[in-house]
Amino acid sequence: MRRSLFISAGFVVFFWLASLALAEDYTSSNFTDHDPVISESGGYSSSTNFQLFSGSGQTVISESTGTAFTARTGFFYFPAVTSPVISATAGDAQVTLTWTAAAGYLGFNVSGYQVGQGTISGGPYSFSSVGNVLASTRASLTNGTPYYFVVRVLDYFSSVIATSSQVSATPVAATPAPSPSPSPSPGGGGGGGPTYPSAQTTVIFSGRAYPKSTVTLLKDAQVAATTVAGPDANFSITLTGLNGGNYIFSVYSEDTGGRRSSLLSFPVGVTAGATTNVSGIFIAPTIATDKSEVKKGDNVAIFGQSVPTAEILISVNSDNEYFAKTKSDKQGVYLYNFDTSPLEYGQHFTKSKSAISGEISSYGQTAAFLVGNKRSVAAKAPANCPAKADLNSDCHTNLIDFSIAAYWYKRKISPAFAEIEKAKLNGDGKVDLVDFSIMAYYWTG
Amino acid sequence: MFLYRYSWYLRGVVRTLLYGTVGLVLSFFFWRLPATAAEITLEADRTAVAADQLFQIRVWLNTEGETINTVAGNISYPTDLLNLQEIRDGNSIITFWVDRPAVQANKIFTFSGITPGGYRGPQGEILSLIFRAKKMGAPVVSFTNGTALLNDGRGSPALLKTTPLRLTIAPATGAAGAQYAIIDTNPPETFAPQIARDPNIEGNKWFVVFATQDKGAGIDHYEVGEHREKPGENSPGERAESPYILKDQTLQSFVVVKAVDKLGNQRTVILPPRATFWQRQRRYLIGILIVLFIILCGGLWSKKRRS
Repeated sequence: MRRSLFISAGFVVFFWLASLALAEDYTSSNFTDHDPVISESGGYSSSTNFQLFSGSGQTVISESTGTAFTARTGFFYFPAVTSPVISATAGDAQVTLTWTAAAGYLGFNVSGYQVGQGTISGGPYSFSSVGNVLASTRASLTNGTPYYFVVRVLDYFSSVIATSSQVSATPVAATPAPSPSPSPSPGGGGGGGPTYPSAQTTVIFSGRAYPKSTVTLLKDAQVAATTVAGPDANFSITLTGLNGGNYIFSVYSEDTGGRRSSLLSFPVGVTAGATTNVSGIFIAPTIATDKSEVKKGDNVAIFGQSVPTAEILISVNSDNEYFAKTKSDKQGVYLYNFDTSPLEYGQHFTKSKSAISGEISSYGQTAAFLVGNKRSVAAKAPANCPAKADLNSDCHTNLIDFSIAAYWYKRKISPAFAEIEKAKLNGDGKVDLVDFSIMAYYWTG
Repeated sequence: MFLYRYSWYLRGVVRTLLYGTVGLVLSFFFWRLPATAAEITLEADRTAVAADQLFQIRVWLNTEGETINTVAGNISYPTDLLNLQEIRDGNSIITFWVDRPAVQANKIFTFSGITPGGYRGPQGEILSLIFRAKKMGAPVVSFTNGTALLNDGRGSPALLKTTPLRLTIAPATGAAGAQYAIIDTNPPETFAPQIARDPNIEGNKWFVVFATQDKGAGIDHYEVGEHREKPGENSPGERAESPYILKDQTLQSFVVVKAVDKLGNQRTVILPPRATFWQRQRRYLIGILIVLFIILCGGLWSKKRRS
């Protein structure tokens, strides 16, 4: 009996492992590598438009470049990690750091963080591991001295796979608080404690958007400020008059073509009377396609805007996921002609992310296109409106739309509203939590 | 004889094949399940408390690497052992409540809400609950019927796990125990109510929408007042919820929206009349024109009579 159980457990383990080891299809824009096999002896594969010489075995996924070539080893996909958004709040001889969780894609698993600390902007930093947490208090600091911090993201093998941008804070001696304020709970990134002799509670946000684009900052989902990014796509927003506590801040931007970015949200614990610096906000690229329907085998142009001279990773989702890399120009504009030959007939979605100076954005909005066997159809110019959830058609998804949805929540919807629900929510003939989730995704404030 | 001698062996083979097949079927069904799931955690500041004492339970969301924008569920507790005193949401990651949690006499309360843009992290506070232990016992506080939806634009459900919180209530000691009073003199956050109308709400009537947070005590209620003359910050209003259908559909009134926290701190926003100056003064203008017309007619009539 026991032996049989062992054997059956062995079957389960075997098939689990086997499922992990199964060969998959890896692709580029002009070839598909079906069921790749790691070969110790080397081999040779070819098609009409590529030749693949396998080496003496695949050990790592990496990229080598020279002035005239780029060699990518391994199967053609690009593991990546988003850079954390980092916040620093000065205290008495200490600085409280919080950061957002880094997201690993395609093989990268985030297993911990290191905090780098220095007194010179740009480093050098002394690093210490803090575990798989999203907050760290740096104590025994000198009041009045500016400190600079970065956060490194570590993988399972403690290798550094991403680094945040730098954030600074200057510790100051505490004085008695003029008026008491509740200590925020640690959820959402910490904060709390005594108050400090700053005139007011201030949060300074800095990050990257698109060159000369309008950046909108939401505080707890309502518009708090807007600014215009510089030609280098960097922006900074200062928000004052806040109370101490946990906030959810969000930012989005619009590119020169009127395409809106996805909403990037991050929790920040704000300490009353102190200044909190939030750094490393990296708004994901915008994206669009030149065709709404493309004949199989034709190219579809995937384009959008990000920071200037950034590396853009484009993903095309279908049964298999296809990846491609390109670079944005000095205006942050990127363009990639994607060969649709390997795609199945039907609807496909594409999205992109951006990387520069070691910082990596999250994936942005998706753009859809149809692969068919008829002639290609040009895509309409993007309306500067949310694709969904804009219930009153004012090109915003905000509290008014939330109120309209809330009005119909748990009610039998009218025939007129049923048409709107079908077009702009999930179309199931009622307003429920799924519709509110769709609304939260397309939120603009 | 042969079969008898090897029957134990054949039984073993059959058993092995049977369990192996079961294992195969199980592995076929389960190998694609993600290894992680978002988690709702109930965390008490003390697991052992004496009767008549207060304690706090925080409801946390650990998204386990996912980005989640909608959370819903029920919190249930034994009313014979626990008395729910207060629900605090001032520091909640939930920005807008769809079903706002409220203290009720029931042994269960429901909540649901959204976080635009989503939340991703290991410890996002959803709610903080202040309970009073009634008598000795072993209460269990549970999160049930939970829903968490991904921030993917489709409202896809996320896997969600939770574990009930088991507590121990000791006999009363007479000691006061921990206190959870909040010292908060700050008003609720600044906010911007909006007046709008939509054919799908109350026959296209004008309404005002509003929402804000209070990071200290939490929002208690809102008040809305409509005034033809410019009101002060303390002008009266009535308790209201968003969306509030305006009584003055001509939009000639100032609309006062007041957010009041649980300690009585207020934030007041006054919206000016949407109607233009001439629209607002129309009835006076009509009156003046009528009077002028009467005077003119009277003058003409008297002039004609004199002539």
